[in-house]
Amino acid sequence: MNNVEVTAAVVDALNAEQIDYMLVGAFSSNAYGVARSTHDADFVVVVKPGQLRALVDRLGSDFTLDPQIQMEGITGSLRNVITYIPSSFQIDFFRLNTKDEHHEERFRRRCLRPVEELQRSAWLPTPEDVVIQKLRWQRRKDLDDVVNVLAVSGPGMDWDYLNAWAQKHGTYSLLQDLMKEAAIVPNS
Amino acid sequence: MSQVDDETKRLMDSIFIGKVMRARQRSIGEKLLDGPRLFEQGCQIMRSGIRSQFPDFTAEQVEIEFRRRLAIGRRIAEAGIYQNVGVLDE
Repeated sequence: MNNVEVTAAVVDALNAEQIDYMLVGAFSSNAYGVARSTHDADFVVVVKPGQLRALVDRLGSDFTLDPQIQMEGITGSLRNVITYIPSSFQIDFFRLNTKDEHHEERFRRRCLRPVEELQRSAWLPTPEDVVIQKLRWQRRKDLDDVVNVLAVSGPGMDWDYLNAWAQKHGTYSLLQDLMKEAAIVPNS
Repeated sequence: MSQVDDETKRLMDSIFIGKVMRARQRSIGEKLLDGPRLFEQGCQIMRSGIRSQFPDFTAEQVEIEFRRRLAIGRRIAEAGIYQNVGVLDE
């Protein structure tokens, strides 16, 4: 399997196990912005005990689950990693963080988007929520992603929603700076 | 941060505008899959670079070095972000 097929297999397995999910990270910023390479597929999932292992069993012996649970230090989300051994492509599963107000709202607003090439649909966050989340992470690549999403998808976005969360998270000033970078591209 | 002269800035802006315009022409579904596709291309280039740097390497040695470099990249990308908090006991 190539890495696109790996991603499709994971989406199918999530659906088969009836695990609610959305694809986040570079996949979502690529969808609404300018594509860049990514070595992993990040999913936010709502899982019950035993479901991650069942998912890996369904995916087959080319996939391995690292039982180590990690917490990311920015929003406190918990992560487990599954690796597709032949290509080292990594699939990160972040548990939906119910203690984080924006995480819950982002998941509630997720939307099913058709992926024509795979003849499937996949759940994605909205472009506003991609920007809000990446403003919180603030790594160099996240800020580049924000500029790209604003430049490509900004004209159609819900700016009241975006601005309100940015103010709540203390990232409004950063958002204003990145909007100036994106604004060199005409809207039409 | 380094200073960029006006001509270089104009060129950078023009490249960025071109990338954005092309991205606007493509569907969300098409772009969604670009990340792993670009990663695969990058992996091919990385393997090719290793073969060029170490012409005596066997295919297995190339793969070991490739995975070592990939792991370094991941460690750098994730440095300071995650901490271990437990083990799945399901």
